[in-house]
Amino acid sequence: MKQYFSIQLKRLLRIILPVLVVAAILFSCLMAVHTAIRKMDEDSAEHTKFQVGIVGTAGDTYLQMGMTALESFDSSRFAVELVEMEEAAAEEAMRRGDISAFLVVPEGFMDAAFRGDIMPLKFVSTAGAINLVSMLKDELSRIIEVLLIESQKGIYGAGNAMIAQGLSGSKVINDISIEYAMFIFDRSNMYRVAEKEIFNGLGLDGYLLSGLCVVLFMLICLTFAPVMIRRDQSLSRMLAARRRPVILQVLCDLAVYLIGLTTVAVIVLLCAMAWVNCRPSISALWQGLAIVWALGTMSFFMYELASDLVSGVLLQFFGTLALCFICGCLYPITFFPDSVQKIAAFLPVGLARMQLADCILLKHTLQTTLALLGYGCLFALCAALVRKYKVAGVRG
Amino acid sequence: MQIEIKHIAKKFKKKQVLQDICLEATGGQCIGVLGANGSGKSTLLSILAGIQGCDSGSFLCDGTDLLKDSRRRAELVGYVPQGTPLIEELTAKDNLLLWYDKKTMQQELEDGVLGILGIGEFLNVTVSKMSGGMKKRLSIGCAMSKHPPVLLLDEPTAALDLSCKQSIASYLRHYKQSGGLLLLTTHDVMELDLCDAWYIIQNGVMVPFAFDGNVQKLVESL
Repeated sequence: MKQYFSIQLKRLLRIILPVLVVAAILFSCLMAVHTAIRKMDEDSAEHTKFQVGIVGTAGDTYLQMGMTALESFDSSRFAVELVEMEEAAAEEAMRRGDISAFLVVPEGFMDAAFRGDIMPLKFVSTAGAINLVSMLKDELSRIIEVLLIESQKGIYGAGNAMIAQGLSGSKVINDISIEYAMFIFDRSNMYRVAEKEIFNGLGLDGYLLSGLCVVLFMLICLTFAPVMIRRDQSLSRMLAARRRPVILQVLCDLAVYLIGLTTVAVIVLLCAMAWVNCRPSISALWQGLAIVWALGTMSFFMYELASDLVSGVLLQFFGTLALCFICGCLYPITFFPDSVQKIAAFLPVGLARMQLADCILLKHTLQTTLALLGYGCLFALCAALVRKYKVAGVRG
Repeated sequence: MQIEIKHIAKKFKKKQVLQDICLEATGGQCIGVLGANGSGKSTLLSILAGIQGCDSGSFLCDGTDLLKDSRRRAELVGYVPQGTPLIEELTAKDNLLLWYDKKTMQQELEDGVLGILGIGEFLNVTVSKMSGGMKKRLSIGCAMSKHPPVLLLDEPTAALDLSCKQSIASYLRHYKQSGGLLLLTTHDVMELDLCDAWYIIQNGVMVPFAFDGNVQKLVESL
């Protein structure tokens, strides 16, 4: 079998360069997809900030100060942006959808505030909208209204108190107002915005990377199809007639296939880890090898099932697509029903994604590795049985 | 060299493909096995080559049952299956190296079986670029690596053009003349001419047939 192994290795060497080129292209494409998704995620986070127009504050120093305090210190600044504008411009902006609402501060608001009266603010929004987003916008606009009124009350109340104490002079009042705003309105510690973890401590970014790497690996398996798929079993039959058992033939073929896959996978894994600034470790490489073993033997088994190149490629392609989808490589698994999540956790592709996620987190779950190794053995055995059946299955 | 095939039987699920197949032949003979598609010709050859087992029977070669002694069988029996037992992406030389060591291959190319088959002409040609005739010659060359005295050929000239058929037939004639025993399945008149005895497999049973060149009579018998 030594000659057979070296001949198969020679075949592999003939295609390894094209496979590496294809892997590089696939890797670049998937990383571009990953970057685009990450960018979209960041952009959408940016766009969730509601813009609210404020009309009638331009000529008033105190109101401006209140606005500045709100925008600078209050945690609502993460969600709401206040934009000063003329009423006509605000209407036009809201019509275009640039702002969600605008608040009109009436003339004489200041004088009334100094007297302790708060004149009602005019609030204009798309209140007629019935969808959830509009309702949320309306709610937020109401919050802004309350915040503005309360901040003004606080600032004017403090100013009046100081004047009553003989502490006249705008600078002192300004300083105290700013202090007031800093202490009273800085509610950033009242709540914390946390991104929900999708998978055992892995954010969306890392999760997608692990999923896409599994997809990439499965697609790389596809590039070996022309070499791995046998059009007929004549060679195996002739070898079997010369006392070269089918089982040994399968082991040789599988070993050569795994050598090729490992070469490509190690390069891809190192690139992926460099992409997420993760330092490669020996443990991660072992974990990676378990993935190569399980998914490699799975695709080898699929190739054994195929009767020709076309059916083999189609089987591998649609098998990859279906398994990757079910196992959450293309879409976060948390969006799937519990039953699907449970099934995915037992499928080899799902286990490979979990293993890769562990690699990124520099963790190691022994059960996952053992399950992957077990799957690999099972697929290798099935592939040998299929080949044996095909070789012996001479009819005619 | 004498072979005896005795009472070979094979059943696939409920279908009795071969039953009580018996045959005797000596070195220098060519036996043609005929039959309709699916009659069991290829199954018989694969059983004799040791690729699949049979339910009963024996394949004796000078008294040794080759169905039980796989080592002797590999030495004594060469088998050329119906398809192309070659690696398409590699050259003729690479394919031969699977069966021969480098030194023996060189000797065989110079004055041995590979030379007679004319493989030296396309030694560095990739299999995928070869004609059907070249592939068949190379396949026979691979099967002949241990100079087996018995050669089993499953439709050796199927789908080849006339000149290729002739060159293969010419080699087989040479093999026969040098004392080799050929057992081939065929549908081809040119190969039938090569044979010294003919058998037809019908409903799993193999019966002798006297071929006198009358193809019409043969067709009616199948």
